[in-house]
Amino acid sequence: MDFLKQYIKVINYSLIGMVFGFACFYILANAYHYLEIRKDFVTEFSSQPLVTDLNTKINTVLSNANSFDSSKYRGKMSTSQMMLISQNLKSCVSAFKNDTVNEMIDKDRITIVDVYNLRESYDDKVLSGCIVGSLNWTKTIDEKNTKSKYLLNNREMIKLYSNYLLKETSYLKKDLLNNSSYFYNTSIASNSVKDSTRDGFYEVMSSYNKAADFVLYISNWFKNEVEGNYD
Amino acid sequence: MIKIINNILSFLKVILLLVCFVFCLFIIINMYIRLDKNLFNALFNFIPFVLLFILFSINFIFKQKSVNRNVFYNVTCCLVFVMILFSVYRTFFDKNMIFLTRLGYGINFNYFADMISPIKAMLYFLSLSNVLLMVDGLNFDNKLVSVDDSVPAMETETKVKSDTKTQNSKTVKVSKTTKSSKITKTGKSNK
Repeated sequence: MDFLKQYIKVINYSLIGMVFGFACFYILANAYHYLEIRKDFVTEFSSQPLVTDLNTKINTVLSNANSFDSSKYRGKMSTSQMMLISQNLKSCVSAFKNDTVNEMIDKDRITIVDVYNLRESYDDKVLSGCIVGSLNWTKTIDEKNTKSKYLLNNREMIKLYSNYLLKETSYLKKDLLNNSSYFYNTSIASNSVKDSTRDGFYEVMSSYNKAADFVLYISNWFKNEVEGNYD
Repeated sequence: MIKIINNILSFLKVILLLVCFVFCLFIIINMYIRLDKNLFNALFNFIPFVLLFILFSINFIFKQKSVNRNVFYNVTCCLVFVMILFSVYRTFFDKNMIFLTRLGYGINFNYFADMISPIKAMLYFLSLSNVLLMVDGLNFDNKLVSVDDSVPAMETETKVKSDTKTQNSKTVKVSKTTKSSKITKTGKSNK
């Protein structure tokens, strides 16, 4: 019986030791995960180069859209079409200056939730509202609906650009959502590769800039069309 | 000092178990309500909690010192419950996890769902080790002790030794009983 009891004791202490190890591991891993997702990106939002670039582009788009005067326009496009495009560009400007971006202006500390909100507003306002809603006509440019040679010559490129923006993978958003799941990184990988807040911020602001570049491209054409520089 | 800490831990583990059970009950019930799942199925998640509570009750009612005075077991139990409470805290309050604000329930079900399996596994293991500690603490030599527990062992042995060679078999038997009585005496004193 003593023999059996010794065996039971060995098995039992191994079992308790294993549970002790698991519990320690889960506490430490949880603490590490907790600290990792609390990393804020300390910076002034409005002084970030990507943000100032975006503002410059948006202001240029707005001035290009405002350059249209129906009484002075003598181009090949119809006046109603040009007025519509001007309105589209203005609505795109308001899409870029959405509530989330406006709330961020005074912030000097960017959290991971802010990055997620920026990504959400990019999807909802910029992609859905501007690129799909207001500038959808850029995907259907042909001889029937436009007389601008510049647009006709570059329609494939414009279509590609638009599709690129829409098909851009939203892996960042998925990655951010996954921060609620349990996965383990090595500390080296975390320190050298992953900083979800900072990297996510750069990623989402780059997306804003890419979309702004597209709108700026259309607005530059619009301004040249208004000024009669083409054709 | 260790005895005092051990006493605190042995009571603390029961309190922590009850606290963990209440929070886990709240989260899991809400999780099942949200998913429109049958609440009866949610009950299976609480079997390890109930099992462990029953075992702790047995430990206290029968004053099983092999479990209650095991520092390592008590520390491990407390550590597991602290881990559960930490994950419960994060489920409610860690707003840096996007799903907490995204789902809008004030409870991060996505995170807690990942934690349920390890929690259950650890509680089952603790139950099993509790049972094994109880088995370890059982005294299998009680029957042998009852034969002549009151007779002094040395006296019996010397009397038998002084007899003839034909009685040698008896000596062996009696010395065996004295040995077992010694073991059980030491066993009792250990308790």
